[in-house]
Amino acid sequence: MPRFGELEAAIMEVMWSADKAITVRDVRDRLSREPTPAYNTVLTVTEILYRKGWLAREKHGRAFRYWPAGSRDDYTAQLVAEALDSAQDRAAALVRFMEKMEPGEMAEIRRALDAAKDADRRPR
Amino acid sequence: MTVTLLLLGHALLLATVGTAALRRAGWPSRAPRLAVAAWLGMSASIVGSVVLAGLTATSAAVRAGVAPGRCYGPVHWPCAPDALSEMGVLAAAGAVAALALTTRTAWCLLAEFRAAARERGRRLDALTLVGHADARLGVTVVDHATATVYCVPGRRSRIVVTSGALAALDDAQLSAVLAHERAHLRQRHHLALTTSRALVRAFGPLPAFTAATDQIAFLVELAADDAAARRTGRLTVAESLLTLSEAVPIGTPAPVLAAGGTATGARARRLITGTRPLGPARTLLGLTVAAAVLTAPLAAAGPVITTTVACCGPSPTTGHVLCAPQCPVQTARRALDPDRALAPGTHPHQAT
Repeated sequence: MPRFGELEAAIMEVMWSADKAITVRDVRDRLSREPTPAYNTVLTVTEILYRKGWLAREKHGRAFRYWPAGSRDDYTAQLVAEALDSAQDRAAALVRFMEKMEPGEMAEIRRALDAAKDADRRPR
Repeated sequence: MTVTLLLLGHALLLATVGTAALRRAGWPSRAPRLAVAAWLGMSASIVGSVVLAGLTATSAAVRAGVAPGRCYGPVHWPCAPDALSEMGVLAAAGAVAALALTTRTAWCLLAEFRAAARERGRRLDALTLVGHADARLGVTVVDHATATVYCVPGRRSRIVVTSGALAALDDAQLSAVLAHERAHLRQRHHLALTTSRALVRAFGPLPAFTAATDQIAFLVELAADDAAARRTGRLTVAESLLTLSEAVPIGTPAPVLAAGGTATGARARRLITGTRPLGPARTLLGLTVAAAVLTAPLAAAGPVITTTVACCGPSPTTGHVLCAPQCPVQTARRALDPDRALAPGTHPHQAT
């Protein structure tokens, strides 16, 4: 049994590579997974993705057709923007390695670091 | 009453002098984890002593309200006080304040931790869908030119590295960065961060709590830097900070911690200069002081409150709260037991 997140990721992969809105049946056909998950599983996960805002959908006849709400690059860019800007992280959801320094400060620290490395290298 | 005032004074002192002193102290950069504990302990002590001040006020008022001399006429002891005087108001006010403060703190802690968990869940969803796992490094890689590294703490914790960061850092720098992030996760820094933010949420912009939040955010970085420096050497950690900072695009906001530079700059300077960690004797001293500050309010309020709880109770007839006068704790329960308490000749305040 694959982890739930993996099937979600695989479905989004299919959505992002599709050039038009597709039905759950299309999604299942395009999943390159062995064994192919049951139709109902794919349906459930697709609906969860829709509810979480990852997919948009429209009714066509008796079935819904889905398409991604945003491109993969949109989401990636948003993740990175949130990671860079601590003002966006009101709930302190993550701990980032560093914040950007000012240019003058970077130059000053580069000089101090080079001096310290020289002092380390020089035999005492 | 004296204890109540002492507790309020303790809270006020910590919120002003204590906060200022800890912010100015030099030792936190030599013992960042101890300093995190000190800030959290101080915050807890401030909230705790105000709660206990409320409870001791209630306790004092309840006992003063039925002080000897308040019972008139040939009535059986225990007797109801003549009126629910201002003491009754004080008792109620103290109890309400203590309850409100406790509820507010608990509620905000819950809200802050839930908000953080929800936000993390959203990020983890996004990372599952757009990122890919690098099993060798044990990180999630996001394909983006901007160099950045962070960790998402919690049960499903992970370290996130952009492909831009992988390109910018050499192997030694990368292992320094990852050691730093692993230290964040291992030492559970997010618990301290979220707790301090919850107190800011609960009590608004009180300088004691905002200072604690800012300082803890900085101190956990120092703690993680130290852990990374132990693995890869401090200059490598400093170099990785500089490399990533140079790789971040111009125009990204640079939050300023203090005059004279950014928090990252301060970290880099500290790594380049090197720090002597605080010795075991001083660390022990610091822990002792922190423990004393934390437990002093409890030690002061505990006896007062337990005596009142043991000596006072609702009157079986009138429903008023009554206390045994000059109550020794051992005999309190007996004194309040109506069958035994009403034995003749045992009560000096039976009649006037």
